[in-house]
Amino acid sequence: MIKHSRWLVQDSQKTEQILEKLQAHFTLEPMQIQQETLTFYDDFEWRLWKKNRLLASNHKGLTFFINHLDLNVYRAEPVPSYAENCVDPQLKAYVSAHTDIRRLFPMADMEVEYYQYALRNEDLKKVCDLNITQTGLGAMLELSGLRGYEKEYREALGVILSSEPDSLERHIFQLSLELLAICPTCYSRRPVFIMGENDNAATALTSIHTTLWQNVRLNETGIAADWDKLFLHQYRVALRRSRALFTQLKQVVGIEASQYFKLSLGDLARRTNTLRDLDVYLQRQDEYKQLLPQQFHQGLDELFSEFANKRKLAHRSLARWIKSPAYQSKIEEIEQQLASLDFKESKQALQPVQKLAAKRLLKSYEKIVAQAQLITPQSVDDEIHDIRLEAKKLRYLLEFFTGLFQEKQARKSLKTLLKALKKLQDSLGDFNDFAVQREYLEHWISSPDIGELENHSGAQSSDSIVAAVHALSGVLFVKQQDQRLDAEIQLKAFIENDMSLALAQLYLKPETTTLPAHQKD
Amino acid sequence: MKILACYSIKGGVGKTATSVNLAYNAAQAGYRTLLIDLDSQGASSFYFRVRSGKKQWGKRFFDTYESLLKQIKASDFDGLDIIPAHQSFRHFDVFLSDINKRQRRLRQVLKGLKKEYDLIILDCPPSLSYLSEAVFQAADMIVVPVIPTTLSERTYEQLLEFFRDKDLPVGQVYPFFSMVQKQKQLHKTTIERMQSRYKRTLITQVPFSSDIEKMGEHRTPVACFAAKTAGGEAYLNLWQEIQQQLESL
Repeated sequence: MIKHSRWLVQDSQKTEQILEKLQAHFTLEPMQIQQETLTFYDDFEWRLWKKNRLLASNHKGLTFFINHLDLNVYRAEPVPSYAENCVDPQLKAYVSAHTDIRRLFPMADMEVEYYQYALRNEDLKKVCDLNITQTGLGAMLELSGLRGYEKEYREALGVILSSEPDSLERHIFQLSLELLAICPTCYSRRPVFIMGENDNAATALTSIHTTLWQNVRLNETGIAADWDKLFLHQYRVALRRSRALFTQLKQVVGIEASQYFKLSLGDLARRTNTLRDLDVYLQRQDEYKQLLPQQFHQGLDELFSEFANKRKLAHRSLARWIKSPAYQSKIEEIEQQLASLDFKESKQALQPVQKLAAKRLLKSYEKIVAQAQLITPQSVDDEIHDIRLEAKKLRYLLEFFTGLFQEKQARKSLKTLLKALKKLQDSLGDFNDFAVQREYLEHWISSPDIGELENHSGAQSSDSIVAAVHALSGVLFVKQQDQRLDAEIQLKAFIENDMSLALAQLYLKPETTTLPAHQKD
Repeated sequence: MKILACYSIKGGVGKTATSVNLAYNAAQAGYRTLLIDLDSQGASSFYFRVRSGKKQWGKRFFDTYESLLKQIKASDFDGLDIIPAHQSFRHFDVFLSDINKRQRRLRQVLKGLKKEYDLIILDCPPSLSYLSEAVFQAADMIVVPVIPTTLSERTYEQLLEFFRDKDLPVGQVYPFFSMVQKQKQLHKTTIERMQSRYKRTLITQVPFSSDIEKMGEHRTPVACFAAKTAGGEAYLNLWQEIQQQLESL
């Protein structure tokens, strides 16, 4: 069995002493001495850092991935930019597991020295490896024994331990970066809204919209620079959540303010629709190809090449808008409106947020259940789409207010609801996606875009695109029909897993719980 | 996992140098390799500076693979481990004589190591014995170093005869020329004759080289101190040729 131990030694003299002591027992052969500058990379959300992972490059082809205390070295790697650009499949899997499609940015540089020694016995056979990684913080000593040389490993271990080195909980790179006052962003795509159960609705709403608005603003630069597609996605999510907050809690902010935010935030989101749609379709390129036989692939390739061109234009236009004085002035206007929200007029603004949240959750849930009960195989698709929208509203409410309910039973109920809701939303979302995709593609081939293409690339090109789109639309239609059946099953399951009593408990004191309206005979 | 044996009835033909250098090159090529030094003289172990423990463990060699696991030692090179020879290996034939189905026993025991290793190389002692029979049954490929002389050729013929007598798979035996001195007419004519007679003769010829002799001084594979010499390159080529054969098995 191969043994491995690590320690931190902050006093350089102590490291020297350890080496001297080891020399009395072994022949210490320096194998490698190296000095270099490492640059550490992370995504916009610092997700590697937050998960105790580090990604570093020496800019000479070596990339290091540190998972807690373990360090893996990858050779002939390009400077990190996106997970998909990593050459080694293992590194690619590690990085993409945490950063997905996000752009990787340099976050810090560090000077590092490595010393590698072989500890040899009287035959000059290597029996242990000793690696020393030196940073500004100190030295990390790593001793590993070779298989079959456990006795020698224990001997070396004893020598090192006699110098009482500090134990090491995390990798020296991480500790050293902390020393460099690395300050990860507090940005989170799923922010936790800080509020107390005794806060009133106005305070809670302010806390939520402040956080969401920060997220809107923090994504602007990334969208304009087109660093990765998630900047736009998360910008839109933050806008959508804000909009849902102001519309769902319109009694708290007042009808007029609610209407203002609904329109203004909606306008901002609408500006990004084209780019987002194209991003989604381009992302599905491979998926679409798998759905169609080879004969349509050329048409699909041409279609996606067109989408890629359109995307460039759409991005240019959006970036111009975000940098424009008109956008800035719109933002300032919204920020002024947010700052001047007046809750005095509203009675609901002063009531405890927990009570309001419980009431809204129950109402929203009951609305979905009532609508779902009316769904039959004969119901039109629009009725299912309406439920999808209601489910989304309930999901937002849960995201806003779940933190308010700390009591064990309440947390359990909300967790169960969230799980059931997610399953339902996934199914309804897929059903909707197939419909939207078909509509978009069919609309695209009947729009002036296709005529434009005919002028540029000839009628043959447009014909193959039209054929591919019709074929794809047909496949998507079949998938949509299948998904409709699944959606009906999921709706039935959602109703059967009755949560109304549990939600009522959140609102009413346990001893006064009464059955919700729809459960009374 | 593949098992490669380096074998010759005759001593001093370069079996150990071959085993050591093939093991090193295999590990460098990414094969998780285990070299088992079956020769109680322990020359392979010496080249890698690995010593066996004091315990007389040879008796347990054919028990289970767990007994082997305890004896594995890492070499100085990544991906290359060694089971060093022990003096008690001299009595292998005595131990094997007491075992039922002794011919299959070595293969059975080595099978247990298939999760850990891609390649096992057996450095065999020069004899025809129970052990060599067990080696022939265990190995997927047997490479036989032949010095291109009349006596070595005769020894090789004796080996093939033994295979036929015992109904062993002759097709797994691959001779190659070792310690070749091209300037010697005898070597030239022997090589030509054997090449036309034995179609499985490997193309690579390992020259007689002072660099290979110096392995004993350096106690390391030739590639570690003289990779670019004729000897170093010959063992690399030999490994690549054997690798192709192993992959096709």
